Order: sequence, then C-alpha cells, then structure tokens
Amino acid sequence: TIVQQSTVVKFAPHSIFYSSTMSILQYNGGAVIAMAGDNCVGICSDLRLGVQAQTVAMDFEKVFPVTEKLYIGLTGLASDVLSVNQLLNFKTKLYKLRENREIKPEAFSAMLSSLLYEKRFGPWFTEPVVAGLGEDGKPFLSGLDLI
Amino acid sequence: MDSVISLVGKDFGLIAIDTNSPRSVIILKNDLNKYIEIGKNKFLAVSGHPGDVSQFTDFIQKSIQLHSLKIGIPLSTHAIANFIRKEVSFCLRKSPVKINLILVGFDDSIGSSLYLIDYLGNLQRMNYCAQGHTSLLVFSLLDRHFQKEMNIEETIGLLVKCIGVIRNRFLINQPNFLIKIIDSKGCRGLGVL
Repeated sequence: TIVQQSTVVKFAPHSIFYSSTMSILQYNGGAVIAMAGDNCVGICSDLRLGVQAQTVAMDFEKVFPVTEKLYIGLTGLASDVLSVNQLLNFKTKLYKLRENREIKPEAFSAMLSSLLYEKRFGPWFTEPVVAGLGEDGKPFLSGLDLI
Repeated sequence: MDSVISLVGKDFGLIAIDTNSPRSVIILKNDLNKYIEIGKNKFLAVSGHPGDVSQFTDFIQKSIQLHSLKIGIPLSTHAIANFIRKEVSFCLRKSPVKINLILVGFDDSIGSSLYLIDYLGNLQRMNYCAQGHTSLLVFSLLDRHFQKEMNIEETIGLLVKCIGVIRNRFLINQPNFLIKIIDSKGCRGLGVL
C-alpha cells in the first residue's frame, strides 16, 4: 500500500521493558523522516541499532541511495532492512540494464509496493519511505507499510 | 548463557570466549571451544543452541572453503560476514537458527574488523562487541574505556576489567575465558583467563 504525503514520518518506538505483545517491527527500533520543499526533498534517519532495550551500535544508517535523485529509508527489523535494500539494489540495477535509464520515483515506489505485497502472508518486517526528485525536479515522497 | 567479548585494536582483533558447556543447571564440560577458524586469519565465535551452533558453523566453514577453492582467492572478512548474514536470514523464514556470531578478521588491505551477526540476520560492523547476558554488564565498560587503535597491553587490560565485572556481577559462574588474538600472522591463543 502506498500513501503519498508532503511529510512522512515512520517510527518504531523503543520500549524499556520486554513485552511479549511487542511487535517485531520494534525489536531494533528506528525512525525515518522525509520532507519535501521547493524543488527539493530531504530524508534522514536515526543511527541507533538496538536489541529491545539495549543499544548495540550507534552507526546503523537506515537511509540508502537508489539513484542519484532517489533515496529510500527503511525502518523496522534490521535484518529485513538489509535484505530489502539488497533486493532493491538488484532490481534497480536490472531495470537500468534493461531500460537504459534510471528508474523514476513513481515506478520505484510501485515496484517496492509489489515487492512487499509479494510477501503478504510472511512479510518483510520493514516500513519504507521513498524520497526523490522526479522529472524537472518535482519532489516525490511516499510511505509504505510492511505489506 | 555464553559470553563473548571482542575488541579491535591496531592491526589485531582480540576475543574472549567463555568455555562452559551448560545443560540446564549442570556444567557438562568446562573447556569447550566455541569457535571456528575460517581461512588463515578469520575467526568466528558462536553462541546459542548447541545443535545449531555445531551444524551451522560446520556448514559455514566448509562452504567458504569450497568457495575459496572454486575461485582461487580467499574471501575478505566483509564478504564472509555478508555470506553468513545471507545464510542466517535465508533460514530465518524457513527454520531459524538460534545462534549469534561474532566474526573477527584481519585483511592486509584494511586491517582488522569485527562483525556482529544476530540470530535474525542483523549485520553490524563494530569496534567492540559483547554477546550474551553479560553484554548488559560489559557494554557500558567498553563504551567508557575503549579507544581506537589501542595496543595489545591496553586491550588485554580492558578485557581483564570486563571479565572482572562478569565474575563480580553475573549470576552464572564462568571460571575460564579463552583469549584469542587475530592478526596478520593468523589466529593464536593467548591462554585462558
């Protein structure tokens, strides 16, 4: 599912005590924000990698470049952040080889959406945010949930 | 239950692993080697369910050996870490392996590096790491005293401090810690602490 907004915020809050009802999306913790401006977009993420309440590392970036003008931020389970990023890398490179041009943000967002829905009954535990500039510098933002 | 503490210094990596093998409330064996050596100077310390530990690490070691034989050049630490992560995340949705791994390796081009691979397939390159319940005790000590590019004496001093805290505060008695050093000459044991 895709939701297009001017500001998209996704976060998985840290909880102090272990709770058996805690979602797996909150296991590692993370936040990504993207915002659109005048012919520009910005995207940022926190750098914490945690295991429930314990912080393991403070250099885990959650924003990755796709093309020069397209970035993706992935929150949720860190393992799936890495896996989905590697999958997207693979697919965009294949796209570039086949179509001989860079992927547009709208097409990328649609591709990501179908990639996530493919795993509808055993999903990737990650909620992405796409931020990029389309044709003639028009900003594009979209946020997706895990399916 | 297992404790692993690992640090990276100037051109070497140091790792301390406890050698207990517990089964519920009994210690079966107190000189167990919970690690494997991959190649000449890559070292993998594992903690987790005993069956998964032995099966998965054997699989990793032999796969990497096969790969190195096929392509003729040994894999770098970064490549090995990503390979292990891929295998763990692959198994995650089929039959999860409940093991956590710390990979320490020395490459001539980049020096020493340390990678933490979680049972869920999280991969993180770090300068120091602790695994197990004792990580709750040891991480704060390492955050405070760790500096980049320490020499061997300083690193061992820091390890001794960490093990002291574990002996002081951890409920489970872990009398022996095996210390291993990984540098350009390979993996060597520095004795038992």
